Amino acid sequence: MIRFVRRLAPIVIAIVVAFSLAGCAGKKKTPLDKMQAAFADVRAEVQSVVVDPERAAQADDLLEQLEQTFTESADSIQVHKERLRELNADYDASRAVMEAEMELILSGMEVNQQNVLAIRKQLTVLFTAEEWGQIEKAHSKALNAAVKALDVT
Amino acid sequence: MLATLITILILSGGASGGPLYDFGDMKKLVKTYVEDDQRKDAALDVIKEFKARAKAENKQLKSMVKQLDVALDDLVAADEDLLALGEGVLGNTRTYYQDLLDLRFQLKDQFTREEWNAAYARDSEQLE
Repeated sequence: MIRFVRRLAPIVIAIVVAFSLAGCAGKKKTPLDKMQAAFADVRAEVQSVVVDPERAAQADDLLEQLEQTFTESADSIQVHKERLRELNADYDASRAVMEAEMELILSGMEVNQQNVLAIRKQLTVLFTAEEWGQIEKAHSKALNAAVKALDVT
Repeated sequence: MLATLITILILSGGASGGPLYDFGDMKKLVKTYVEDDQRKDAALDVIKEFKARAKAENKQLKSMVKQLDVALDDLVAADEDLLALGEGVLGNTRTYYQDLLDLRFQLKDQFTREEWNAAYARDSEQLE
């Protein structure tokens, strides 16, 4: 009996894992999931376009920083937006308090912009014009999906 | 692709639907909770203005996405030009937020305290 259970265990585990994965596959992707997928595409594209391993590794590090900057910024902005929605529900919330919360969102955007542009500047000196052109042209479909997911337009 | 990705990052946190309302829900709440017909109509007019303002903002953002894309695509674009575009996005968003606040207070004026509290208590329950 014990031997039978032991033989059965890997099969049961495999079925449980398969069902878990199926569950994950069925879940709707969040905007962040889509953005992470877009970053993965760009990073893969850079690795295939930039032949020099040292520059490719540097570019990969910078892209990782860019992704982290976005994630941290998105989290911070979300916190302020939730606070703003709470204030909006409060009949007595003053305009000054709501404006201050909006300014925090704008400050977060400004810091995000500065960080993103600083990283972009470092990236541009790493690539040749030809490499840049190839990276730019890649995967426009995936990117459009990411734009739509973020609902910025 | 990289330029567009950077464009998204620069714009993120902007006007995506506005930071205050889901307009469909607001319309429903006005119809349900504002008891006086005159105030109800005035509130629905404010929601129309909200929608129109959000639509105009989306149009403006589309144009900014294009400008940023072109600038970021340029490997030798000047830092000052990129910063100016970024500042333009922030200025535009600040104006949009101020307009949203104006409209929010116009909307609130059409509710009594009791109606507002009832609407948002119900709204919070629906969100949970």
